[in-house]
Amino acid sequence: MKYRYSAASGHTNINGRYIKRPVVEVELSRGGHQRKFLALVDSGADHIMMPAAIAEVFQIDLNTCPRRTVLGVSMQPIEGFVSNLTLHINHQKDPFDAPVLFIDTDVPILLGREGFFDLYRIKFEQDHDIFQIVPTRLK
Amino acid sequence: MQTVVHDHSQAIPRLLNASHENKWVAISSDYSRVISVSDSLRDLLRMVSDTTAIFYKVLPSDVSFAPAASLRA
Repeated sequence: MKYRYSAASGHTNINGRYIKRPVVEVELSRGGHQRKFLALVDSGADHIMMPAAIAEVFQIDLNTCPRRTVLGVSMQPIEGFVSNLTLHINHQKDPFDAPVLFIDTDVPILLGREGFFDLYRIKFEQDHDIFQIVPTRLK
Repeated sequence: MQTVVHDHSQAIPRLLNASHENKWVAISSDYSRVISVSDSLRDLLRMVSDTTAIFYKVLPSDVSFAPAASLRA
C-alpha cells in the first residue's frame, strides 16, 4: 500500500518548503483496549518507541518491565521500559505483535526497525511524495 | 496502479494550525475535526474516551526534528 507524506501547516525546511513526514495511522491494542495514533515511520530508530502514558492506558505495569536506556541525537540517556503491544497499520491486512520501548517523554510514536521494519518492506519515495509499506512475513 | 492513501495527509494541514503546536490533539476518526487538545498526552487520553479518536503530537514549526534513537542495555 502506498501512503502520502503528511505536511503540517507552518513547518518549512531550510529552503522554505513545507516539511513532509512519513506518518501512518496505527491502532494499538492489548487486553481488549484499543487506541489510535498517527505514528512516524523512522528507519533511524532501533525500535518502536512511544510515550509511557500509552502504557498506562493499556494497564502495563512498567515496574515489572525490562529496562533499557535510549540515546537520541543529543546523546543524553533516557530510561525506557519494554513491553509488547499489538499494532495494526491502517490499510494493512493483518495486525502484528511487537516489542515497544516506552519512554517518559513527549515523543511522537516512532515505528522503528525491530518489530516493524522486520515485518514490512518500507520504500521511501520522497521525490514522489509517497512511501510504500508492504508486508514481508511468510504466512 | 496501486491506490495512494490520502486520509490524514490532506487533513492534517487543514485541521491543525499554530495554536496546536507542541500539543497533543485528538482528531475524529473521519479526520473532519479536532476533538480535544492538551499539553499532556496523559491528560488527553483521560479526557477523550472515544476509542476511534486518533491521537497526534503536533511538533513545533520552528524546529527540526531528528528522533533517531538507539538502545543501550
